[in-house]
Amino acid sequence: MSDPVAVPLRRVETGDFVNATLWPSVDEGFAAKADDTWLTFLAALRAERLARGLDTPAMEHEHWRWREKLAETKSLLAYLTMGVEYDGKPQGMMMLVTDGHFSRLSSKTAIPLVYVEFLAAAPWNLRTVVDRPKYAGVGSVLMRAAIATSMDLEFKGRLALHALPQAEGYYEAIGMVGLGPDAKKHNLKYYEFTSDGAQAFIG
Amino acid sequence: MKLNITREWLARWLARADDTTIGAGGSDLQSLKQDVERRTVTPPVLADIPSQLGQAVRFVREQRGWSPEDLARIADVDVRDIILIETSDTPELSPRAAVYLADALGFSRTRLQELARLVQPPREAAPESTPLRFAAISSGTHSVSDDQYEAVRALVAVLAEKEAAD
Repeated sequence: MSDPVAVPLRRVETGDFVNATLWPSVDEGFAAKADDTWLTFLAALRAERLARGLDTPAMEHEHWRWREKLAETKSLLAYLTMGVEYDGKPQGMMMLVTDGHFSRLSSKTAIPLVYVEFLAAAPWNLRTVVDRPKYAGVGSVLMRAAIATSMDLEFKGRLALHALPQAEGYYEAIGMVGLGPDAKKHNLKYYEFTSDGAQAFIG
Repeated sequence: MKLNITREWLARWLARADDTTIGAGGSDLQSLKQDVERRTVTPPVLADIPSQLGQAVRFVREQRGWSPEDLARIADVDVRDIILIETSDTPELSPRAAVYLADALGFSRTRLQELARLVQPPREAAPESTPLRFAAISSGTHSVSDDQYEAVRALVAVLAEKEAAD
């Protein structure tokens, strides 16, 4: 893995910050650990809640297997997978594609950008899964890392992604431009960060 | 990567945008595999390979990152056979080479032999009977079309489906 970067996360329960690690390039071992810890947590949570007569909402990316995604793409330079780790556990993961994607905001010229192929947080960090998430900031840190990658490639921070439905509000709140549902991607809404939008987000 | 994320920056954004709902990704594993495959075996690689047998062999060879010499060594066949398969309009494949190549490439022996029969020149002169090849549509271009690429990919998939007899 590449050199790690220290990043903050906020412990939701107390509001204080912890020092987590962003791995700019993770291997299959890290991905397998994400699959193991996330799916086990989810299954245990479901069993525990069921015992109390409660349902557990499905995690939108529950069917993803990060180890398989890594195994498929590890030999290609265009695919870059990052992870955020804290307390010995993967807190979030993101796979980027660094070529072959262009802005849909302009039909006249091909303006390259970084495409976020997959992005997910651990189930214990998702308000949609648990009543009180453990750490906030995973998504923000990963979006910053995606912008930094875009800047390294001289794409000026331009990004694109297809939002999972529960995340649409987040992307709109940080200033990404929504271009509506994409029939080729299960009707998920497509969003772009322009270079100006990315700059405003970085602050 | 230049990245300096401060607690102040994070606190400011978390106050404006709750990121505990984050998630992105509209690709399933199958489409991811196809994209990876296309980046590994690019359409131009298949251009100017006259026969479908040659294209199928080249497709898997590229996919696995093997040189013709690598494949010859792994399959225990002569490297000249590999080169002929990928360059000839009507490559001939001995029964032994077909079996060894099928095993090395992960193909069904029966199906590879069947394909080899299809691309061989007819034994009896019959004007309407021509071997299966791409020469007429791919020669002189630097790439194959999307449809041709998908056809080769589908052919490789069929060859890779092993039958019980194998």
